[in-house]
Amino acid sequence: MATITWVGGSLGADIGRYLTASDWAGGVAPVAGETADIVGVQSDIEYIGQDIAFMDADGYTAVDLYPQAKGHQGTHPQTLPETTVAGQTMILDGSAGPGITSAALMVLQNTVLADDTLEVRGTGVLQTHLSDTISGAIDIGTDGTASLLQIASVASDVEATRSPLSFLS
Amino acid sequence: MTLEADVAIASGSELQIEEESDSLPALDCANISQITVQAGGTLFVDDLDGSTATYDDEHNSVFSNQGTISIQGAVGATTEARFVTDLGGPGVIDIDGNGADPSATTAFFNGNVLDQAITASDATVTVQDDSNTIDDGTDASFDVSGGSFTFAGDATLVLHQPGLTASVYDAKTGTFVQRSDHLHPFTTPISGFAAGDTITLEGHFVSGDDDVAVWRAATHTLVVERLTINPTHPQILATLTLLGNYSAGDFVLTGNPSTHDLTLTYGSGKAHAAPSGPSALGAELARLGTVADLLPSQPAPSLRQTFPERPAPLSAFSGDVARPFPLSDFALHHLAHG
Repeated sequence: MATITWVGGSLGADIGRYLTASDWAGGVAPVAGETADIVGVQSDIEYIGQDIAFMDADGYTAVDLYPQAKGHQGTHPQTLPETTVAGQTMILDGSAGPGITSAALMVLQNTVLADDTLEVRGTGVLQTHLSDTISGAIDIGTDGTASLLQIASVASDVEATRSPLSFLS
Repeated sequence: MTLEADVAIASGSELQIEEESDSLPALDCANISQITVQAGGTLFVDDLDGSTATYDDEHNSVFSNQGTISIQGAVGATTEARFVTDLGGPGVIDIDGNGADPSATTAFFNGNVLDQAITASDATVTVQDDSNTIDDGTDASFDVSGGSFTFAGDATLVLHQPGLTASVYDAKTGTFVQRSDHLHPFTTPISGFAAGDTITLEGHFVSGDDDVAVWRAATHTLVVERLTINPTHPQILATLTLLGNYSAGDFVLTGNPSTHDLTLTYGSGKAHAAPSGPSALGAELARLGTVADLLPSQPAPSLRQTFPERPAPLSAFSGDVARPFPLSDFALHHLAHG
């Protein structure tokens, strides 16, 4: 059982509303701006970021956690920060979420996935800007699911315009 | 966007690379790593929203493949890569059906294809030139040049050109004028063409026309000509550069009245690989058997002929019946490899 560390930001309180207290280390849900560990959620990574919604494949999804983000415009909360923890596996999973679409969206900025593997399940959208470099590795449907990854390039001055949510684990 | 990541596309899965919107300026993407389409997977590179699979001449972007794209088919799987965009290089594209029917492992190109080293085995590669159907006010064809195309065994190269008009009617002179700008733009040199391989000029066959394949050894070019209108100045349907040791009579041109395809194959089941040593020559002569075996089999009604350096006048032939290849051509061919 790995631990996910959440660096609060504006989403912390909302996440707290959709997780029970027992899902958090110490049995207390964080509030905005607080750092807390999520337990009871299977994950292989420890991820430190800001304004990032985490989820994995055990039933929790970003949509579950943050339904008010449906139709959200812009990079928040879908933007992956420039710095990731190297050597991890991130899952872009559009197969489990009950969101307004079946797609999960990740917005990339600059060089990402340096030594990471992005595993795609279901339908995912990887939105990139012209200057983006995607390194590391991308596995699409290698878990046996019929999956679709759409890498969509947008102009650098265009923010994310799609509504599906991202969730990483 | 630069793709440095090694990408694996598993069975039943697909990777789409595309522009977000047609309303945005054209964006260029590059692959400098390796994309592997595993058996049953699909790669789709599009210059438009994925819902549209036609080439957009007003908004085309370039997908620069400077790495390797490997399409690995398998028996029982449909494996596909589609490029509806301009493709730049230099890069490598390997299409291998791994024993599957060639129609099950495919690569489709619609747009410029530049400087790609393409190898096909047990696979079908289609190069479509939509330029004649694009309403952009020009007749310019796509540019399919540079790099290489290698037949690595039981592969098919399909050259498709919707709206091809090899000639147009000139009202002033009352004659048909050849339109060289409407030839299929495939100029990438081809190597390895041998028995089991096929080059198809899709939709080019017209019943009643006399089409011929002319091998020009000095320039290593195979020219498909149509003699119907003017045998002295035939229409040129395609000019292909074939690297290798070929001779007149190696190529069989067949027209299909149903599909309207013209198909080029390596003639009469001859092995292209040069045998080595006297024993190989002896075995080959033994396999050939009698003189009758050296003659081509009875042609189908649509079978056209393969000519040496220049086609003989149309009057020299009798309808659709192919001229038997001279015995000397076959003997010299095999002896030359002995």
